[in-house]
Amino acid sequence: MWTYEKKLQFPVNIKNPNPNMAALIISQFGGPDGELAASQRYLSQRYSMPYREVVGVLTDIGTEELAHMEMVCAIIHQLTRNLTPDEIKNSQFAPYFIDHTTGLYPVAAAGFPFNALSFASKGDAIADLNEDLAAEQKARVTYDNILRLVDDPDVCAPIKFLRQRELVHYQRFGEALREVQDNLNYKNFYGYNPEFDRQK
Amino acid sequence: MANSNCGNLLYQVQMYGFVLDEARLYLDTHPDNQTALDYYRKYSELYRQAVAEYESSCGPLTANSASSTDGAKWRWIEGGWPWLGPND
Repeated sequence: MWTYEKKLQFPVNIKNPNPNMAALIISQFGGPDGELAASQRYLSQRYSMPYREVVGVLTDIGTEELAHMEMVCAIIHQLTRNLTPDEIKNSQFAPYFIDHTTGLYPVAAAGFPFNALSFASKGDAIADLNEDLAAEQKARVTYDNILRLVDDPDVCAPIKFLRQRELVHYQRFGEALREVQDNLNYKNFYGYNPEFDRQK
Repeated sequence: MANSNCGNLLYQVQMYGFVLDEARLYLDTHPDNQTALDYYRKYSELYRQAVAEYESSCGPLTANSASSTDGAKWRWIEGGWPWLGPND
């Protein structure tokens, strides 16, 4: 189970609302490489993972992604506080506002809602860990793209923190993949499913 | 926040909490690394102290500690939630 701690992993204190920034950054809540997908990817994959070190990595990174989802939501919430209808009307946030007002709903920056097809849980250690390595890089690219378009230092600080965590997670997943490959039977040179097709 | 220092006390909790988040992932893939184990133990204690200091004057960080901080009232729902910003 999980226990809620009444704190963000990294502080979010945004003084100036900005609906245009909110409309871009929300992709890291509900977009294809967002934190909702990340948390569900890792927390779903761990049940079939055959090595305890890797289960630990999936559990702890999956849990951290839940905290990142909360940070992204905090950023969106604070960017959309006390907006006037005119401020919304003249922003890219207007289409989202029509459906969700300023409530948090997981969508991509391009407007489509969260889709579980944006992550995979294949029940194969090699396939899943390669998915995870790619996912961390894709999330890092998305944060880089956000930083290319966003200039408020109050917003950039938590976004830079989140970008940095993708790098660390990529590192840990790389070690996890090496762990799995070290455990492969020498006859399994091509990396077939080590948990289902056990080779005696 | 119950007093003006709560922001600083919370920052201490976040700082030591993050140290543990980072060291935990490292230990998952390096479970025999004694330096990392000692580091984790050291910062677990500092985290515990920071949480105790925060909770004694600013309110519970988890629902588990909400009952022990004050007998007369359910304090878990008091104070701000973490996502609230300067304009809430």
